[in-house]
Amino acid sequence: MKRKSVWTALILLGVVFMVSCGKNAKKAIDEAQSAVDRARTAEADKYAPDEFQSAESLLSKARDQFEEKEYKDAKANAISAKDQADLAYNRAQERKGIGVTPAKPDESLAYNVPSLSEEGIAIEEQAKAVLKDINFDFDRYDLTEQAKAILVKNAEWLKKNPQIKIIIEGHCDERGSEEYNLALGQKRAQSVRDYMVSLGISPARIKIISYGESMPLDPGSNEQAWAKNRRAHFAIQR
Amino acid sequence: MALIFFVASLSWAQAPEETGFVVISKAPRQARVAIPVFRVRAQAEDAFQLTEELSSLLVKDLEKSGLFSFIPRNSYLRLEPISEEIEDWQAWNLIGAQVLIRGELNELVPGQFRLTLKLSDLPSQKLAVGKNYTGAKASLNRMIHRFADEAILWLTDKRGPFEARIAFVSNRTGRKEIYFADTDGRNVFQLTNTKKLNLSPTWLGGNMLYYTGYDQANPDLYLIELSGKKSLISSQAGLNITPAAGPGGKKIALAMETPGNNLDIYIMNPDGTKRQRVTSHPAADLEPTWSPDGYHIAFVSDRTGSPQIYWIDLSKGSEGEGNYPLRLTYYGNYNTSPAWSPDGRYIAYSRRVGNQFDLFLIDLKAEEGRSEIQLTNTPYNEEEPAWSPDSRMLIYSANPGGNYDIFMISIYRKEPIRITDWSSDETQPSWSLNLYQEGG
Repeated sequence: MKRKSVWTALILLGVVFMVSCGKNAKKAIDEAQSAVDRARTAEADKYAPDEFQSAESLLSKARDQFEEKEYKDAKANAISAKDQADLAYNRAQERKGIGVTPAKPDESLAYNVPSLSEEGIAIEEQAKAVLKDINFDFDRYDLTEQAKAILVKNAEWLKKNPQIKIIIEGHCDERGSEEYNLALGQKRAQSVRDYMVSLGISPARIKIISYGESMPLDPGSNEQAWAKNRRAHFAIQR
Repeated sequence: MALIFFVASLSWAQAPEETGFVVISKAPRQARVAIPVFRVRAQAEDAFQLTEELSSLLVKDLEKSGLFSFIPRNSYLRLEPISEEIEDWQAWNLIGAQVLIRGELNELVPGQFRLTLKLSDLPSQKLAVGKNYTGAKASLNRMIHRFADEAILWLTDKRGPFEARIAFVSNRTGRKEIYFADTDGRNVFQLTNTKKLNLSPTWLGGNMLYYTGYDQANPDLYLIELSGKKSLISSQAGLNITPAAGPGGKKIALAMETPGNNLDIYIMNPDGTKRQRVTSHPAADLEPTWSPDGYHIAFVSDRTGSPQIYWIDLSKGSEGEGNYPLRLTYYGNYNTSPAWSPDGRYIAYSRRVGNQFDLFLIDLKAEEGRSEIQLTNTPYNEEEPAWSPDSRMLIYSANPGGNYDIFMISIYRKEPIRITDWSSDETQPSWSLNLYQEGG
């Protein structure tokens, strides 16, 4: 109702420019909404809850901004919401396909790779689901025992799949200098690479890259979000 | 594209007269300025609104500088001069004004304007600065910035910083891209559109920027013109980050990884050739900033375990050959983003205090030796300071509303001035050289 009355008011005023901006933003919001719906149908709320929640919160922010007639910002957030929803959808599809529920990260099923390959799942898709992120403490790049345990499992899988080449991405939380965080992200990626090499993975299979604080997993500004964002992520070289 | 056409700029007052009532040495006392709304002779329907805007833009620039305080218009006793040439000096003295600025906007032909601005020194009852600017409507704001710079030059013998550009990073499209704008935050233009990651824009003069871009899936150094034309300057596998143009743009400094070496500071020609290593340490060295004489570089290093600011004497060669960097910061365990003022006196940086970042200045020429000045003290973050070309203001990013926006602060007045107000994050600002001097 409310949105309808805003539209009517705008048209009555004949503010053609604003209507066209508004239309673009509305279109982006509609697209984000269908992406979120698609992700929900794919049970992304269960299988990729972080990405899904982030999509939903960006979408609701976009709607608020739309109500406030901040069309540019609404559009930008709607586009980000759609990106996140698509990501949630893709991850959910991958994880469902091989029975990984990220809510229970220690489930051994995740590493039961040979039987899964038999089910004909693309090796890259498996890699994405199996190779886990590790986390770091604030302003630190040394590996915790928990992180080492995850890396041992990542290395085991990589040994079984020698054709896979990886990129280790170093990430930081948003606090502190963006530029210093680029250096810190690089050190995190280097620590992980060095440990993987010590576990017998050839350095020729590993590239590293730092994204600093620029690609947070969780856009929030709280301890929980920061802890998630201080991470090294495994991506596949194509 | 914010192309501004300046047709002519002529001065009828010869050299500014020595008036001597305010001499700026250290912390200046603010000159009290009266600026009646400019007069207007124009056909354009919006001409009155235009003069209102232009008058208030001049007020804003002069207040921002921290060198002038504006006397509100409701206290003016006489808005118009007695005649074209005769000012009622007494009426201005009575309200305590020291400086009077009058303006007149004439529309010569439709869309073509002449802006006449006159600054009078009230104690000596003389016209001190007079300028005629002509140009299209789009150049009017720039005329105001130029006159504000002239007024500051008259007051302090050093040109103001407002006829310049600012650059910054914004994620308003969902990706971090480089933008530039006028110093008042208007005429915003998105310079990169790679939909990847673009960081650390830093001006070379007033018309080109160095920045780090992830176009080729690696943080590489680019030089970009305002037309968007760019060239790859440094693309070592690994980090090529935190560029800094040296004095006169003759050299650049960069933090870089080379095969077998971790992140260190290098200097090179502006096109990336003739690379020389400056620091050699297994810790990360980055964020170089040049002293204006080109003999020192200050930078961030975590060689003691936390990021601190150091400097190194380039005249003694690279690190290690009897030349070791000296530590500059001892308070706090997270000090980053050093920026050496173009006049050589200060190094600005951001320090973590508790859980927040504030801006600090190291005064290298304080009477009692080196001393520190805290510029901001708020419950939110102020970060990434960069200097105005006149060394009297800083541009920086802060997040009072949760998201980051661009702000400015006069080191004399110490009051934050908001430049952007978007709901996205705007960070890593850089202030260009003055376009009047650069011929930009």
